[in-house]
Amino acid sequence: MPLHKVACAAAVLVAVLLLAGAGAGVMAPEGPNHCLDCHTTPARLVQAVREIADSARGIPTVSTAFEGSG
Amino acid sequence: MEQLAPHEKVFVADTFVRDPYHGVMGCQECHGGDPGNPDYLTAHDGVVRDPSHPPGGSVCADCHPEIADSSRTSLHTTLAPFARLVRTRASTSPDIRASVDRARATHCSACHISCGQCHVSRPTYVGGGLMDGHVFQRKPPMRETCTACHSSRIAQEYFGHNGGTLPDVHWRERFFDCMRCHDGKEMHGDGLEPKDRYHVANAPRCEHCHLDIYGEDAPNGTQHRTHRDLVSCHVCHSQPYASCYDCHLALDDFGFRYYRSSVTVLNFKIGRNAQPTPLRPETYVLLRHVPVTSKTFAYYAKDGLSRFAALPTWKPATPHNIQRRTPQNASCNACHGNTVRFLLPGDVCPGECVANRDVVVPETMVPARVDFQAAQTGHDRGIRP
Repeated sequence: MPLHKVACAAAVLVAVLLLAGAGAGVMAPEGPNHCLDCHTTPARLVQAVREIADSARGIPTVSTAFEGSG
Repeated sequence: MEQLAPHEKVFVADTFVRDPYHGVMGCQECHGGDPGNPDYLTAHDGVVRDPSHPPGGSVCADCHPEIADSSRTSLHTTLAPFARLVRTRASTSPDIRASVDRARATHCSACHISCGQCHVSRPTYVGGGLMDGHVFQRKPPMRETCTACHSSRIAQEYFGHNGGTLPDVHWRERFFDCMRCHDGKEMHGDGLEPKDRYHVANAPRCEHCHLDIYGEDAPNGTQHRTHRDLVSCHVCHSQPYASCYDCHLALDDFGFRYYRSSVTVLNFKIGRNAQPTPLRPETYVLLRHVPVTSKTFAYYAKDGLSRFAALPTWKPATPHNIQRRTPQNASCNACHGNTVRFLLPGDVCPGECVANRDVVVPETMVPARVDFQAAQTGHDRGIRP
C-alpha cells in the first residue's frame, strides 16, 4: 500500500476517534431526573406535601397575631 | 389574593420543560439538589428555593447581565429608603440603633423581591408559589405579583375596593395593567440608587401619555396651564385614599414576626411638597399618613425612634384612583378656600406637629376663594383627553 494512502487512512482514523471521544463527553449518561418525575405529577406532589404536613403537624409556620392592614 | 395549595406552589408544567431556553437546563443548574436521588427528603438537601436572589449575582445574570446588574440597585431589590428613613428617626446610640436595624431587617425589609419573584413565582412575602407551572413570565401577571404585594393601598385604590370610591379610570375604562405605566425599564432600575420612588428617573408621569393637556386648544387647558407645577395631577384627579396611623412590630411566642395596625382612615389631604425636585416641582401635593409612630419599634428598643420628629409622618402620595371629574375639581371654590381639603396644623396628631411642620398648610397658605364670575370664565368645559 502506498505510503500516502496509509497516512490518509491514519488521519481519518484519528479524526473519527477524536470525534467519537468528544461525542462521548456530550452524551454522558444523565440518569433519571427525579425532580421532573415528581414535580410534573400532581398526585405525587399531593402525596409528598401530605407527608410533610403530617410530619410537621402542630408546628406553626407563621404568626397568627397579625392585625390590621399592612 | 387566594393562596395556592401547597402542591400547586411547586408544580412544574410540561410547557416549562419545552421552554427552549430555561426548560433545557437541568433543575440542579439553578436550584442545586440531587436530581438522581429518588428520596425527595434527601434529594432537596442544598436546594436553593430562589436562585435569582440577589439579582446582581444570581443565575439570571449569566444570560441577562445588563438587567441583572441594573436590578441590583432597583428599589424593589434594595428597599433602601426604609433603611435611610428609619435610621433618620432612630436613636444615635449604637446599641439602640443596632436593635432598630434588626427590627427593620426583620419586618420592613422583608418584602424585597428578586427576578424570580416577578417572573417565575409569586413573591415570597405573599406566600410564594410557582406561577403557571414554572413557565417564565416575560410580563409578570399583575394580580399575582404587583398587587399581591401592593395590596392595601394601590390595589384597593385601583380596583375601587375602598368603600365609596370608584375604580381608577385607567382600569375601569381601559383595563390598563400596572406595566402599562410602570414598564420594565423602571422596574429593572437604571443602575443608579434613587433616594426614593419619587426620584426614580424613569418613573412614569401623567404627561407621558397626556401630552397635550397644556395646549391652547386642550380640554381644560386654561386650568392645566394655571396649575402646572403648582399642584400635582393627583390633587385634582384623585379620590379619597387610605392613611394608616400606627404600626407596631413584634415577634410572637414562636419567634415569628407580626405587625398590628389599628387605625386606617380614608381621607384626602392636600399639603405642601417639602422637597420639590425637578421631577416633582409642585408646591401642593397629596399627603398620606404613613404607618409609623414613635413606638413602632418599642418591642425591640425602648425609645428606638428617639428622633421621631426628624421626618414628617404625612408623606407625598400618588393614589391610584384617578378620575377625570372629582369633587375637588368640580369648581374653583371646591378647592380654593375650602380648608377641609387641606392638611391644616390642627389636623395633625398632637405629638407629630414638629415632624410635620414643613408639610402642613397654614390657613394663610390655603388658596383664597376666587370670584365666581372669574371662575366661570376660566373653567372651560373640556372633553375627555
